[in-house]
Amino acid sequence: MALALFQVAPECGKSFAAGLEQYHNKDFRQALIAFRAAVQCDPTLVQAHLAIADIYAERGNGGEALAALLQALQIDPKNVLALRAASNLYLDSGLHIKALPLLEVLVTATPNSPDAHADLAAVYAAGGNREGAEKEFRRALELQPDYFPALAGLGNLLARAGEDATALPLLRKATQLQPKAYQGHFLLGSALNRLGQFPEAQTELELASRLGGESEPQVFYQLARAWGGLGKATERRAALARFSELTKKEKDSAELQRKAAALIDEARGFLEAGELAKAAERLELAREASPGDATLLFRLAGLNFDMQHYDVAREYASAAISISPSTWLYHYLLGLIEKSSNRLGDAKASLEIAAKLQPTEGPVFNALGEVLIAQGELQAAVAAFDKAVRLSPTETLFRQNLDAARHP
Amino acid sequence: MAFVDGTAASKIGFIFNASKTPAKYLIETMGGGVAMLDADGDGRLDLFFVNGAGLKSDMRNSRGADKSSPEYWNRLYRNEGGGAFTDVTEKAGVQGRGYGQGVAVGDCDNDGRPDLFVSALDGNMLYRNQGDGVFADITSAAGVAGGGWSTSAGFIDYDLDGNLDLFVARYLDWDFGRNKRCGGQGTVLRAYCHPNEYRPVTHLLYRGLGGCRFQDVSEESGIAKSPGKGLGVAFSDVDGDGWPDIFVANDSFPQQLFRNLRDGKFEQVALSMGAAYDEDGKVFAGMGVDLADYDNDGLPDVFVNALANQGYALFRNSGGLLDYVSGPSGVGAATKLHSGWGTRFFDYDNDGWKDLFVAQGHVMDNIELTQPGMRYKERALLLHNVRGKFTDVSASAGTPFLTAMVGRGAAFGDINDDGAVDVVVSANGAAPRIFQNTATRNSWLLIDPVGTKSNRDGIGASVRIVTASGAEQFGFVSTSGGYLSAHDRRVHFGLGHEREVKLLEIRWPSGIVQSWKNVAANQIFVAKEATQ
Repeated sequence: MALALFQVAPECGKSFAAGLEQYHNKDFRQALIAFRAAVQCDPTLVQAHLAIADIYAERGNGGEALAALLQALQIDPKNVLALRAASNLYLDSGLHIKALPLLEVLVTATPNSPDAHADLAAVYAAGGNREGAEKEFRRALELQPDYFPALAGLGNLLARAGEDATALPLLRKATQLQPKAYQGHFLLGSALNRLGQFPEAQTELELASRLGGESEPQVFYQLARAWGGLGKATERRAALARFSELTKKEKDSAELQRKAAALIDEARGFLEAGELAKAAERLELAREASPGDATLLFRLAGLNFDMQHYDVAREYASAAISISPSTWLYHYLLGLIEKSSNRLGDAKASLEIAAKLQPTEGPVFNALGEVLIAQGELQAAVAAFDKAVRLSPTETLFRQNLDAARHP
Repeated sequence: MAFVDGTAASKIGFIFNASKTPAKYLIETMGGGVAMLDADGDGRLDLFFVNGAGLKSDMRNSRGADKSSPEYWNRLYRNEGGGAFTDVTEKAGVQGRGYGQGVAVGDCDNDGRPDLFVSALDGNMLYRNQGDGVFADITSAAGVAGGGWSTSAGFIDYDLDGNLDLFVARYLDWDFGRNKRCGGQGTVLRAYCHPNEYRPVTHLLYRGLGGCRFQDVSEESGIAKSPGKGLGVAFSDVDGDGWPDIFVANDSFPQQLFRNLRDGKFEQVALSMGAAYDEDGKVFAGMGVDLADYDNDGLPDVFVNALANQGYALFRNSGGLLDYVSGPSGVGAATKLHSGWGTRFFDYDNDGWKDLFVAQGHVMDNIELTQPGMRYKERALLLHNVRGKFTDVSASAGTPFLTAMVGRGAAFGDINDDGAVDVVVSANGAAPRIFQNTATRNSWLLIDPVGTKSNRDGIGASVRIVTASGAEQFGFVSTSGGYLSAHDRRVHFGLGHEREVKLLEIRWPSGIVQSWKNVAANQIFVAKEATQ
């Protein structure tokens, strides 16, 4: 995480500095909480949004990372770090059309950056803008003649257009530059297939499969083409079988995601009908299909909480927090679960985190006040209820709790 | 300019009524097919258009799509000559039932009159041509009502017994009750669901028993072993063994090639032959398909169009394998941003090389909201074939290519017998368009096959011509191919500056190989099958 020094209000800077310290100590959970507090304090703190995005991206939570980056871009639309990171996340998800406007801004903001030009070129190529793609790839190569993504990208673009004489030297150079990157060998092998140069294609594709392409179905599809061109029917069949196996694996995974979405829809219907147990059953099935979905875990926690299955609810809420530790709602729910199971110490800890992450939610402070009362911490409880009332002046329950705490 | 717009002069008032609803039923996106057939035996090609049916936002408690109102009827137009047509639907009795999709044409009782099969959601129809301008609904007796969501269909004589068989592609395991909500929240961003949301289904194969009676052989033939998401169907003898094979264009699902095993069974070989995926091994949205020999090497090649951003797929038959050649042939670059449906290889300029036409238009009627670079309405595409390399010549091909439309089914044939192949395109939710091909200075030959021992239409016959220069061209008799549509049965060849064909050779489905020498150009040549 590379963050420049910047001007910031002292109280907000304190949270941010704490976040940085935790980050350097590799305590990412605490770092996230501190960075969240910093953006609560000063929502225009671009660096804090970037830091949040960085931590989420590191943890593989692209959705949260992207949300943080888009917030950063709302504040500073030409922020190079945010533009680059957000466009990369879009590209990783195959959302080229969303990456395109970001990359177009990025190349004007960093006209001498070969990777910005190459990324833009790749998006143009995916969208069928052959002319734009070639121009941007060539610009990237002017800036850095041995830039692997641009060499491979331009070579691939030209090979697909049938301009093999120009394409092959580029692809060969790419594989020489990064001999251990499977992508270069794969692209070179594919181009050689198109040219009917099957012996060399087979060598390159075998290499690609050994250098990291062993789980990529397309590598085996091309390999099958090469074997076919060489008249090796047995080897071709084996490559196609491997291709089919890997394709099936990909398809099954996509099918599971769809299944999860359908089960969530069903659960929603049961919830609306008040059939909580059936809804929970569907959500549990959906979780099996999509185990890394924090929102799903949160929903399951909520449902089990409503059904007073506190142990199960705690498990789901904790799992949701481990995936997305700076979401205040998850801590709040865990606090409520602990409170209902009379584990007051744990309840207090969770609600305090929720309050820190989201200092504008009256119900959080009210729940915290109730826990503090039960623990006999009267003065702290009065302070919590008082804040709850200030945040939600129309909530009579909060006011009643405040009065009761003041006049025990 | 090769083409003029013949729509206004035709006086055809048909509109494909998709009956769009806020529920965004996927079937609303499909459009319908068109057929060119000589329904009344006067020697002129008439036109048949398939129509949708009335839908409601909530179809769960309805009896299905309602076709009772005339605005939803399928329509038959009689060719009066001079480019004009007359609506003869009611007299012919072909208004139809259900939400219509495709049409197939073939003489299933070998009486010399083309019969009509219409596919639809929840039940297909077969009409026997009675010869007096009237078609009789014989669906039930023929045993071809089917079910589910049928799309493209075609007549084929797969067992070479002289009786036409019938293949019907089916699309998705979908009905109104299982329609899902897809796209964004609210009515504006609600979108039609991707086919991945629904399971594939099996296609149907009916064996012709003669007299327009059929037996469902989907299971025993092996066709039902391979479910798909079929939209387009084309036939040809891909492996050159004298028996017709079947190609199904599947939407977002591997393409299928059913190889005829010559014993009543088929084997699905698209993957092993190289045509199941694009060149990267990825699935694409196959919609329209055609099989023909575009490079004049004697082997039928495969063209399958696709959705925008995928590029259309051209597979060259190298004898044993089908190689993806969209890039080097120029097809990939010319089609990357388009969405294709009705299609066919045909030699529009009679230069001796088969060109490509594609009716185009995106699936999503709100695509501009989510992908500003794409358009729901698109111009039709004409790719000119210069010795195996294709160039987009649409912009200079004439006025009908200049206005965008939501193109779907397309039928091909020489409507005015001038030796230049015309095209009729059906639009989703709009009037069709007639691409009238103006005669070129190049020579041509239109072969009208008449089977005797083989099926009467000669469907499945392979045709080879050799000109004085030694150039060869190849054709295959079929009314099928493209998307939901049926074409002129006659086989058309462009001859460039040649005055005659030195050798015309036909290999009939019966196995009889027959040849004619020194056949003059610029004529409709009736080729009658020898009795033995």
